[in-house]
Amino acid sequence: MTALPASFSTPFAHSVPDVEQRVLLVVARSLDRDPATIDLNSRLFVDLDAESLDMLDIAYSLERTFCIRMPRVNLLQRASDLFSEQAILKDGIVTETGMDLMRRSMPEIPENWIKPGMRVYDFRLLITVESLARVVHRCLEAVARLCCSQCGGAAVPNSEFSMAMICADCGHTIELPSGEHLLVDDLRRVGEEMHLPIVGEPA
Amino acid sequence: MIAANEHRRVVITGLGAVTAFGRGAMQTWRAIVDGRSGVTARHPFENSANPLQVAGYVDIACLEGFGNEKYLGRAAQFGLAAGLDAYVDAGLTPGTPHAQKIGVCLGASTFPVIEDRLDRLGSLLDGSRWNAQCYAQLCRERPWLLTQSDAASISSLLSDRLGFEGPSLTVQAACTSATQAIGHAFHSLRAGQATVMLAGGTDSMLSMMCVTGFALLGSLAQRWSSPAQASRPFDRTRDGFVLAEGATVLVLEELHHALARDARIYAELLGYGSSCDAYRLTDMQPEGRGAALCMQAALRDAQVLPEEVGYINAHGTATPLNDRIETHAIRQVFGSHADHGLAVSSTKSQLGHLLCAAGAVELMVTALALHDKILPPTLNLENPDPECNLDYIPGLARPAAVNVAISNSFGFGGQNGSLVLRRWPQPAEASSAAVSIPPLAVTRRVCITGIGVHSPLGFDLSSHVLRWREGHSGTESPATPEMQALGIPHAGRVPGFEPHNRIANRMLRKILTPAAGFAVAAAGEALHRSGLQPAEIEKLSLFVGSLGLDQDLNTFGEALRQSLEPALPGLEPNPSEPSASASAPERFSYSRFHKHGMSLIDPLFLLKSLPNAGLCGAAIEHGMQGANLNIMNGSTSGLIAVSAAADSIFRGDTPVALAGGYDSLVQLETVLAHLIDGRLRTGKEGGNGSGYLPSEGAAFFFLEEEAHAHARGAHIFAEIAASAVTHSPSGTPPEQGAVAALERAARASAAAEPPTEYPSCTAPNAVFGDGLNLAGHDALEAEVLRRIGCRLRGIPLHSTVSRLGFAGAATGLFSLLHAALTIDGQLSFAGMANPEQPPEKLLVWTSDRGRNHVAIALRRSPDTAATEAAPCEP
Ligand SMILES: [Zn+2]
Repeated sequence: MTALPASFSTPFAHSVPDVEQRVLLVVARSLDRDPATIDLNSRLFVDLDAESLDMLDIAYSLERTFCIRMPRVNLLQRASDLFSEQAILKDGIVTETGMDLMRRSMPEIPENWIKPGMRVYDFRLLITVESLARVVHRCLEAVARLCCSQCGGAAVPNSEFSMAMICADCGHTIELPSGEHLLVDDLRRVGEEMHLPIVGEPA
Repeated sequence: MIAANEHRRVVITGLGAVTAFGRGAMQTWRAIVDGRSGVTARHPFENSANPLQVAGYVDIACLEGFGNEKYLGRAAQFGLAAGLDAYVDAGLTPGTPHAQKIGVCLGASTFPVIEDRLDRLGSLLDGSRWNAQCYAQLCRERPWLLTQSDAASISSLLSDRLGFEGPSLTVQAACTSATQAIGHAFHSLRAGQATVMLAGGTDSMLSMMCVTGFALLGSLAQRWSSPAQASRPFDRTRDGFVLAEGATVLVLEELHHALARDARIYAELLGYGSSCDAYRLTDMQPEGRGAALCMQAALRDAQVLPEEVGYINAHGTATPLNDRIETHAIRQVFGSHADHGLAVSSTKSQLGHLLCAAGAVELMVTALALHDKILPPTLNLENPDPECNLDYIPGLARPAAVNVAISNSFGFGGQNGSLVLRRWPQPAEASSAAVSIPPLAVTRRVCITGIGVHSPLGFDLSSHVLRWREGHSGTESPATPEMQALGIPHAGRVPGFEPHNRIANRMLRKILTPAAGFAVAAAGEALHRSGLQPAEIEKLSLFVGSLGLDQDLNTFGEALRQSLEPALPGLEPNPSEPSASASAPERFSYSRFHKHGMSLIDPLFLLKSLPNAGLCGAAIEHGMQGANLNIMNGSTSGLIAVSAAADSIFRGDTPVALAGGYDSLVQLETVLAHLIDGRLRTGKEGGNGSGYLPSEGAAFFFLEEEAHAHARGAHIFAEIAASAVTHSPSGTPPEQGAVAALERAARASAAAEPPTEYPSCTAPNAVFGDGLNLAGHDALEAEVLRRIGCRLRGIPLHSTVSRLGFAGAATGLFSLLHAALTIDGQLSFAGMANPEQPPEKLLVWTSDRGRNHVAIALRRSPDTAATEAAPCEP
């Protein structure tokens, strides 16, 4: 499965529906499905029979399509690194705090999908097409805020290298923001809302 | 003395190992018992621009004094050292008599070490594609670039060094490779086909692309604070495995042979079981079905009850999924015994994951645990996981006299293997009667009842046969642009293969290379033609001979291109290679690769290039969970797989098996290996001795015990009367080994003949061989035929290569297919005595560059035989 062509020149100037539509097409292509049979609420592992390998393929295709870097880590694992394992998990089961954190971190997921008794690896069962679109949009926003560390100039796509930006003024290479850092930033924000103390830094 | 129909007992009499702990089995064992970790952090490729990487690195200096092996790959050096050490440890010396009864069977992997090509990268890449001519030039200068990717050469080297003439085999089953290699060697010893086998595995996948591949798959441990703590099997905080390199070879020996020479015995090898998850390429089946199946099969094979097992050396990779599911599978197999007197530990907590060598080093550790009465620990098990709740021997080795132990391996792709060991000597209380040796039952007859093929002539048997009969050639497709640039105009391509029409499983359509796709489709056709019921398909055994390398280097083209930076003035790449500095304006930069390059690589590429993808794909697509074996022996792979399958039916392991193989010679790396050896025909005209055109394809055979076939009224194409696999060590004339294989197959087939039904004559009606149109190989073939008497009697040699091209492992299978259809009366060949009268006996053989030889004797099944016997000599 090859990535969709990154044919647009301003990757971040896209509306939410536009991003959602493109994400849906990437998912449909990777899972070899008719896009008409998929919608934003389709759960990848439950409704679309995705396997863990598909997620790698989809993340790769989304990166190439949108010129972003997607996070590839389990949200709950990162949360236990940040806020202590005891806060998030008890005997392998997601705690009330963990469930609250998930609801706040994944606002697109219907609240009642997040049920008591969930385990770390059940997390992926929640992921919908919309979840991916939200993450892509989050990454695109971060790309839109990029500017040159040398001269403060605007970041524009790099014609020579598809996975970095370039300064429009001085030509300095501007790295794409890491999806993992964005995910951790968001976790910190949610943790603050919930008054969760930070006990460690992710490895 | 052992009666001819009795299974032999097999013991371990020699050990050799090269691991992160150094060279020598005892060196590794002492470190294991001391609870040390071999995992360290290094900047890969001694380049501090790279982020630190944790792995079980072998210090190559530990092999010093080993000889001038500069151009051997790391895995070859490890394997050779471990093999020679094991042989010496067993008290055997080169020149030991009965060389034809001694063989080698190793698990090994194959992957081009891209680092060795990086100094020329600027000129090797045309945009983001490899420039075939520049790459060919580089490979001519450094021929070892290509031989390093030839994993099958490692077992051959070892056989060469020690002068063995028995089979020299390479097994590829991802992380189960060594366990499968040992299991296969064990079964052939038990059946009396060999008296000594050097079995084990060797691997080094710490090169840039391999590490990248595992990292992109998300398989590697990331949340570690110190290297020694990175590998955390069964710990709640585990998040992946730690890569390691090394080798272990065990000397397996038939018991009486060992006792007669008063050999030291480490342990007895009691049983082996294998299975396929037939679920997904990387995810384990969630209930641990395949893992449980192979442990049960191994216990059955060993005739041991679950309660007798005191220790399991687990696969225990420290991936979240494996450890949970392996625990679950152990509970399924051992029931309440799992909580009462069954200890489990993971050697990977100390050594990391040795991949294709893991099963061998872990079996060695298990054998020494029984021998020294001390069980190795699981390190870093500090946070109990509620779903991993067995006795894992945390932290410290534990003294315990265990009688029976198991070693488990489960691989990417879903191939599983378990080996059962028993302490030696047996405690006095165990009477000799407790050692029951399953007898070999009466001789069974094996026949072919289903055939499937994907060839340059067509997608199934009927179109292949039809187009063959019509005289079509399969080698008229235009070659790939890379091949054309190298002067190869045509190739035998399987025309218009469309996975959508041939493969139902979505993930397989996404992952499999075309070659592996041919295998899945051809296996399906053979299965379909056999008419076997679904319930029997589930238990079916699967034997595949695969290609060795299936990696399209262009997969990395874009990533490598983006990792180039302008060369620094005054910093020439390599003064000893002046041409490099002249043509390399840009240099590869590791830091650019890590920053930019990696993200441009298909994260699934490593899976896509697995040489066992054909076997696993076929198992997944068709739901086959039975015993399995993937042979990776160059062009002899396919017929060796068929021979192994027939043997397992002869032995009574299974009444039915699917066997075959696939290959493709169209990837640049493979094309170059044949081109630079002067084997490929270039230019338009192909005169005498000008070589062959590269080709591809797959063929599979449904093999069945004759009684089973009769009971269900299956059509019998032909009977497999006998087979033989041999090796010619360097220094002996290659025809010697080849003749031995053919003679043994011919003689065994004659011996198996019921005297009244057939004329007692071993001479075949024809030989289906290689016919490669290469002076050396053709001369070898002619000499072999002369020596077995064919040339004297005018017995014709038949080959498909002139019309189908040379398709490596598939070519021997095409020969078998044509021979079987000839016996069945559906095809005839030039020189057939009477085209109306199908021949009685045909010999099929192939030889891999004079190294390995395999021969299969086919004959007409009595049911399909004509009422009057055909004359045995024309
Ligand atoms: Zn700037």
